[in-house]
Amino acid sequence: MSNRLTIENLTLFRGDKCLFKNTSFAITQGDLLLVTGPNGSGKTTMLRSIAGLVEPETGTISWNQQSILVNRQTYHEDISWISHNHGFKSSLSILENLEFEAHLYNYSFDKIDNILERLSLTVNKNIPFKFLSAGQKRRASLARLALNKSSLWLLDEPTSNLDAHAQDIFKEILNEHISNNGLCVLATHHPEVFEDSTSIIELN
Amino acid sequence: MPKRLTLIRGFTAMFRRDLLQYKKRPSQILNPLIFFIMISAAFPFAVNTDQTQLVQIGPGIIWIMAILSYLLTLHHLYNDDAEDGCLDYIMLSPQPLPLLVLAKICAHWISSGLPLIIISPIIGIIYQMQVDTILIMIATLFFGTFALSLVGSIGASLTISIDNSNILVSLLVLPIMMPVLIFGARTIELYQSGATTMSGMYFMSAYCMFALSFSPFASAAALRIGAD
Repeated sequence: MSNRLTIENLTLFRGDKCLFKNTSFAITQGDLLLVTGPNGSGKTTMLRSIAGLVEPETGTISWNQQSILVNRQTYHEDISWISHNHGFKSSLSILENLEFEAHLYNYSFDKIDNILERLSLTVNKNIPFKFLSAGQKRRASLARLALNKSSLWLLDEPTSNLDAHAQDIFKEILNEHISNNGLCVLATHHPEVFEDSTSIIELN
Repeated sequence: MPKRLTLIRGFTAMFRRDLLQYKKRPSQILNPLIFFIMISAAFPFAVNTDQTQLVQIGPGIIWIMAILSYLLTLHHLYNDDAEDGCLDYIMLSPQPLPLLVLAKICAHWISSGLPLIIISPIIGIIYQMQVDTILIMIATLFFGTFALSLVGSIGASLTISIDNSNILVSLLVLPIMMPVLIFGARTIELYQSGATTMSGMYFMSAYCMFALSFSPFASAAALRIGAD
């Protein structure tokens, strides 16, 4: 069965502010959806609601024709998440952080050396996360993506703090995912970077 | 991989990561422990009492100080994970959230409760307790601190979205922990006076089991609400 993410009549408020109202869209295998808009327009909140971290006021979010709230665990097996916060413990090394996630998310740790090499993190793999630069921290987040084989990627500003070389590597990883029938919802301020996107949603 | 093995793998990963985290940041363990030792040890000097009175007030003071120092640690249970974004990744993992919460509670007890239990005989000696009384104190602290980790987890998860919530967690948890404080201190006193201690032990173990049965689920639900 082909994977499909369907959003129907999604309305979400933050306090009194309506971030989006009756928003509907659907993406299927091989789709890359860009979510753009100015700061505070609700890009992150939209991604968080698709992940199931934020409950919308109205509307439904379905994964393969089933609401994501029905069986959270099965849905979580299929998603990868990258947010502003790196989600790594500052006192642990990249290797320790990724090893923990590999156990938690049940993915193989065999290719870790290749992935760290590809992202130029091999030298820093045993250094506590807090001592890395902002760009290296972002690269570590990308290593998480490359290790995880889930179908739906939810990425919030994945290229922030990345240099041109790292951005190219990220685009390679993303293209591999999309060409392997993956799906991706990506929030960004720079939609021009992702020329292969299949659709764009602009939030105001 | 079979589902059961996956669950065990998730539980041990969470448990090991938190222990590693505590090991790399020993101040989180040492600060409350030093607070417990200092105040408990300073009490006999401040209150001019003879040996008989010291033996009488000892259990109550040790228990109060144990609970107060333990409350200092609850803030770190989920707040650190919320601040660095790890909590989102934990909640989005395919593992059942109550299981991961239980792993965090167990790691918290190992790093906060166990050192307190290990150090408590020294405080017992300061309060002129006999060896057998110290053993009873250790048993009550064992149940009491684990119950505190379980109940404290609910308080910590309910205040996850509030800044500087340390006092609020204490206000939420302290009233619920009063029965444990009363039974814990009273059980030691009853033993010292030659009465049976079993009723106190039964109550504390039952309290612990009750908290164990609902705390991971209540904490997981509170974390999901807090993330919203």
